[in-house]
Amino acid sequence: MTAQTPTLTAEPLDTYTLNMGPQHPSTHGVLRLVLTLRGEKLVHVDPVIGYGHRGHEKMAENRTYAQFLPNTSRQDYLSGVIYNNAWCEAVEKLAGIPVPERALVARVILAEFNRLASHLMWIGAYLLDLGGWTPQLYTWDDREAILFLLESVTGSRLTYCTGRFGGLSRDLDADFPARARVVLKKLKDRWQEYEDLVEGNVIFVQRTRGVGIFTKEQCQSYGVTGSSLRAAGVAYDVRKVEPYGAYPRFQFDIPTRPESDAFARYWVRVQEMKQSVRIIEQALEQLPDGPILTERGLGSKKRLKLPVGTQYYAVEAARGAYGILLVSEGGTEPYRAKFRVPSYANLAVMQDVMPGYMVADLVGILGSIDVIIPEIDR
Amino acid sequence: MTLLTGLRDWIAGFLGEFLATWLLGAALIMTFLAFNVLFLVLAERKLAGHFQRRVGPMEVGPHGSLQSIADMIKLLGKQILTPVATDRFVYLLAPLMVFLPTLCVASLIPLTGAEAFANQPYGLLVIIALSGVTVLSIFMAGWSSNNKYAVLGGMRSVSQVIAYEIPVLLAALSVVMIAQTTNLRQIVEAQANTHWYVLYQPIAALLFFIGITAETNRAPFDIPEAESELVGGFHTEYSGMRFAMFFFAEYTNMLVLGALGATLFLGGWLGPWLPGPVWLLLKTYAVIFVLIWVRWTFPRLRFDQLMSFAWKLLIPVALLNLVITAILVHGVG
Amino acid sequence: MGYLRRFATGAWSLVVGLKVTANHLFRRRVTLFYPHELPDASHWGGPIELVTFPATGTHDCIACNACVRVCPSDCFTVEGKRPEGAKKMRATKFLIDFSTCSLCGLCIDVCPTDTLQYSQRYDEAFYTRNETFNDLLAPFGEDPTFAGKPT
Repeated sequence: MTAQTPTLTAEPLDTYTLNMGPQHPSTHGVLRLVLTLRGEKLVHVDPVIGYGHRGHEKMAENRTYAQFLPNTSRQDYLSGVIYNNAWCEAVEKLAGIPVPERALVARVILAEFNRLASHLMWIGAYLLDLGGWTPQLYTWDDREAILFLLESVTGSRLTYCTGRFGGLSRDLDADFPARARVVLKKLKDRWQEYEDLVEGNVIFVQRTRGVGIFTKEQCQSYGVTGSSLRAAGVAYDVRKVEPYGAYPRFQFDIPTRPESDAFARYWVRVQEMKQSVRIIEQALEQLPDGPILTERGLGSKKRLKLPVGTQYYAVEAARGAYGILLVSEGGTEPYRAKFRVPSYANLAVMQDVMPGYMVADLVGILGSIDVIIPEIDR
Repeated sequence: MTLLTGLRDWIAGFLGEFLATWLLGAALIMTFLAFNVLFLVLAERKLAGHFQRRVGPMEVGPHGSLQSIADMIKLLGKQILTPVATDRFVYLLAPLMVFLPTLCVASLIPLTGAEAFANQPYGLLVIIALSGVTVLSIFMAGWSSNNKYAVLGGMRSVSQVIAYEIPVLLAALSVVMIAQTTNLRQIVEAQANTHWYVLYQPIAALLFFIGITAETNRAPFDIPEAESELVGGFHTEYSGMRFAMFFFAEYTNMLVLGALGATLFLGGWLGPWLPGPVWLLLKTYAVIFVLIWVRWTFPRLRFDQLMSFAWKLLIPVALLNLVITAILVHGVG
Repeated sequence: MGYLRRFATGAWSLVVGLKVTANHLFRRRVTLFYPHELPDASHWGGPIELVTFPATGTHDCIACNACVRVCPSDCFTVEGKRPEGAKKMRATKFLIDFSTCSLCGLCIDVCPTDTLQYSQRYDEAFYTRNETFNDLLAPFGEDPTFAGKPT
């Protein structure tokens, strides 16, 4: 009896599936990538997300506006200050709460320091993805100085919760500007070193040039924002396009680069760090005296009731445009809070970009767009 | 020495003169290599720490000097897992086989000019041939683990070692041309009369160094075990002492190839005041220091870049170097 | 020629990289030997504690439960009763479940008597879950306000 040849699978036999993550050293948290490979070439990439889902949006509906404050910095744990500020500012805008000048500038200072810390961390982690160990320790050394500075203001090192409706809960010390300038000087002395060790290194350039290119059109259709978009030649920065907080009063540039490869993204981030230093220097000059908070315990003591309305508020987080859609029906709790997180869109474009590269490049590309998985899952 | 001779005579009582010498020699080499690995692991961690403004291990022993021993005890005590659906025989054989070649090679490096040490007429060829065997066991480990990451790591390792053995061999050949012998002892003795060959053959020395970096799977050529891509590469599925075997082999390989480099280019045991083996060890550790320094500075190359670097740059340069050496040696002098 | 120049700059960049790490090899360490050297935690906002007011030598918790109401993660268990002859309540039980606390500081904001503050403790690691309950009244010992009076 001749057996019928069984139909095996629909997929071609020369490919195989490799399950990368959720526990993999270079998927930056709990991202799972289902790779279809031909040899070492990627044929298809399927990101699977949701392993770190905590239901932040649903939690927002069940808490007062103030009670949601600690949640904000836990979405993107590397730039918590920015997210914390964004929530405060969104609520302030909808409720019409005035913010003292000093608090506005202080928020910018803290946010830019946080952006610096986030980018420094990224450089280290990215080089680690590419197999270089030492730059990580150097960037973390610098990041440590920034974290120490932020700790002296906020009392925390990673998940900050200093923002309050109408200001900040803790004031900057009298010697904060002096200490901040010391840190900035240390950073500025380091740029040359990073250039020597990373940017100029022939192996790094070989690994990143021409890798992970996506076009402006792809960026638009997926909603890519942040450094990845600016590295694709689009000068889009929420701080410039829809200025918020105290940003309109500071001078800074938006670095762009046309190549849109991993090297361009690295370059853009380094330039952004330099711009952040510039902003902080101006902000320290202009830091006004006065109160840091309009009214203590606003929103927590009295259970703030927001007027009926819908408010969209966007800020430029370390990874791109972060938006909050806040719907209030007049109660003490939001009717709906929707968070538009940058990493989600930035990761989505990868499906289009990855095929054709090698496994080693996958790590290089995934690292270069700087995704934070808890932010995607939220 | 009298202790050793006594021991040898005692063993010779049951096994005969030849076997006793053989066993005792092997045991001595093994002991030295084991201690060397402990020292190298500690040195690597300490140096890595200081390169990165850290301090490395500090807690066990003064300045963490006993950390390797503590790690060894930890690895010994760990559970040894064998994953389901492995090719069991090959899986178990691979960690045993991985350091046999390095062990053989270690016994072939001449330690001093004394008559007793490693006087093989084709010593260099035997060494190069044997060091190629290591890759077989790496591939065995990768293949038998029944893990895709391990297979990728094993595959990468095979193509990498094959590609990088050629420049190593060609670089060694240009030394052979000057020394007119493949006997390692005579190569060193030839350097005693002239200068160290690194001065005559700087390009060959550089090629040799790059080659041994790749052969020992160290950064920037640590592609078979690139942990950000392949988790652990070929030894992903190995745990406890079996993993330690691969570790042991890797560091022993560093020592052996470093010693070979010192012999070929840095004058082997030659040097004033100190005894020969000490000089050889010092030179070897100098080579290893540079290997460590390089590892803690550079990112990793991509696989295809690694291959094109070997085939398109290193091998042509090595061949050119060989031809020029041949012309200079036979045409001019 | 261009190829050669590219090769030379590439090789030189490696030497430059090696120089950077070699520089760092001889610089001072930045590591803090943690259990032997302690970090500066003077600004650290650690687990919540009750303020000891210098004037009275004790805390001023009136068990108003404002912190209980505002806490996003229900960390607090506060009970109190009125000492005889006093106007204000006084806390008899003040527990914080530190395993759920997110150190947001909202309780500090709402406290009407300003008797809550961040402590500077940072090594809050425990073996059992019960140990994460901080009894904030424990440092104050027996409360003299209730002393001698039957409960």
